[in-house]
Amino acid sequence: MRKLLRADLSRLFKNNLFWFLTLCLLVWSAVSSYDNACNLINNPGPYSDIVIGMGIAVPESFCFDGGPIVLVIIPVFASMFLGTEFSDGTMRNKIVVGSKRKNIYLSHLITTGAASLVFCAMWHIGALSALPVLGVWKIGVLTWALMVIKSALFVFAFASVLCLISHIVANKAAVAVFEIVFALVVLMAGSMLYNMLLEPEMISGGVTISANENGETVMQPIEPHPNPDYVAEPERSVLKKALNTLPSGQAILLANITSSNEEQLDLPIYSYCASCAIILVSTAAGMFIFKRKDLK
Amino acid sequence: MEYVMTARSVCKEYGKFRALSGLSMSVPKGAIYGLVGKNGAGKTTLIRIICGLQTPTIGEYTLYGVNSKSPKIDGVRRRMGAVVETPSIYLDMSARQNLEEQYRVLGMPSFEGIDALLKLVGLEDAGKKKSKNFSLGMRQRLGIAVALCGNPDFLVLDEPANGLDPQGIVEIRELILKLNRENNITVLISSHILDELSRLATHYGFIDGGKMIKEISSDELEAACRKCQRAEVSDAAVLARVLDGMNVEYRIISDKEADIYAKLNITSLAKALSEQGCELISIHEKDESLESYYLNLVSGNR
Repeated sequence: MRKLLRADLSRLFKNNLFWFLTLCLLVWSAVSSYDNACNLINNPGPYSDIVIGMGIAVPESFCFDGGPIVLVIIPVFASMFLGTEFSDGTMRNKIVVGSKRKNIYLSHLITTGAASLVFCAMWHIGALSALPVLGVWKIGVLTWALMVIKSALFVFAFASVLCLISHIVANKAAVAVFEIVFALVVLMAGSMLYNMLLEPEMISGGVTISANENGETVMQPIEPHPNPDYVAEPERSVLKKALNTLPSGQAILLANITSSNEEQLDLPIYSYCASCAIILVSTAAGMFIFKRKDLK
Repeated sequence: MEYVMTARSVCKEYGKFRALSGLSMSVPKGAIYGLVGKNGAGKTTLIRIICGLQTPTIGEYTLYGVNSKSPKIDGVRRRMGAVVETPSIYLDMSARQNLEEQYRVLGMPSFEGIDALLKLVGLEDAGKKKSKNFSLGMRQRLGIAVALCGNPDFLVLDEPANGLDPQGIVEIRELILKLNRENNITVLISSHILDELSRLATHYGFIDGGKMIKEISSDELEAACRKCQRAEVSDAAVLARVLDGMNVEYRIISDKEADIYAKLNITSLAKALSEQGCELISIHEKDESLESYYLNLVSGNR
């Protein structure tokens, strides 16, 4: 296992796509975070005043908003990196000399997971460019650490699912298409769940405009009334759990850390457990299938 | 005789299609074993099974005496190297980097020996050129070099001459002979280029329809394919006596047939046989090549 991991990590460090994506994420995060922070400071308005006044627009709020982007980048890398083993046939070199399939699978999982964590870390580091604009760090170390663990877990869980797909499909081109489509579908599902759960229970704040008997315009506030799109219990609990189970759901929740609904939707302990469960189940299934798979 | 690899009644099914049906074979130590068969005969399936890429549906095989179902089989594979179908190399890496990668997979303590390997396969001047820019022959040689990492003593090559130009074919042939003679590596090589195989192999296994129809050594094959006169007589025992008297080399095929390895005067032979009450029914020249031998075998198998 150590030999395979050494070989795979060595290949990772020589991989141009890995370094290209790492650099892209770092630059993208740095530029977008700095730009967003500057916009808040240089264009004062009611919204930015509130945001800055409430301590929401702190540097750390930018550190976790790249989750959904990272989830799109990971399948691009994973499909190419693992697909090469099948398309170039180099997987055979490992099996022919007696490497156990479970070790090959675990080595691939760890390498893909490590690369995914590097992508995540690059966004985090890049977002620090907002630090000089918005001032010092405001959240506590413990809160920050828990958020880092949460993002690390859902990123690794997502990588483990992609590792499973790569070993089942075993065709570079098909894997690339399938994994990118999978990532987009999962992101859309997470976004849909999030938006459904954001719907308010009651709708209020509107006015009706009508004319009275004298022909004068009369404005009357509308009484608050139930929102038909609001998801009530018990479906609400199910959707909340689904949102906190999906890596994309967790990424969207972390990206919207400033949302007033965040506390209501986020289930921290549940999401940690869900990510761990995804890692365990997908790895066990992947190892089981790969062990029995006929390779060419 | 010591065998590097043996297979017993190996079957492989893909859904309803049976690629191998009860194939048995033995590869002697130190041999260059040529696996002969047409496309779809089951050569590559057999090689994939031996290499651990696939498992037989029924049956088993041994490598250095270790059964394929034993947990020790993975340890024994450390003594193997293989090029299955296409060379298994990272196209975005140079020849040296590919070998370094395989050294890491094998857990070799250092990269000592890589220069010698590159020289052995004639890639010492490839430098930093990526393998995707290699010619087919260079890729094939690099694939063999990767298979040779860790000093295996059993090399499995699947169609190594496929797609190569004449120069490339000669280079690969010389490399295989060198590995066998100088490094004492047992080679299992599959090919349907019979002329090429006949210049290499010390043993042959003929596969057709997923079955091993004949295993034969090159000496036996040479004897079988030797230029001779096939005589059909009424009594082969009488023919043998007559030929002994003429001091001629021969081989009795059946109680009525014999191969005579000499140019004989047919009139004298017929007269000598007639004197002992034996009829000469027919005589014709027989000159078989590996190709015709294989075709005869395959047609006889149907």
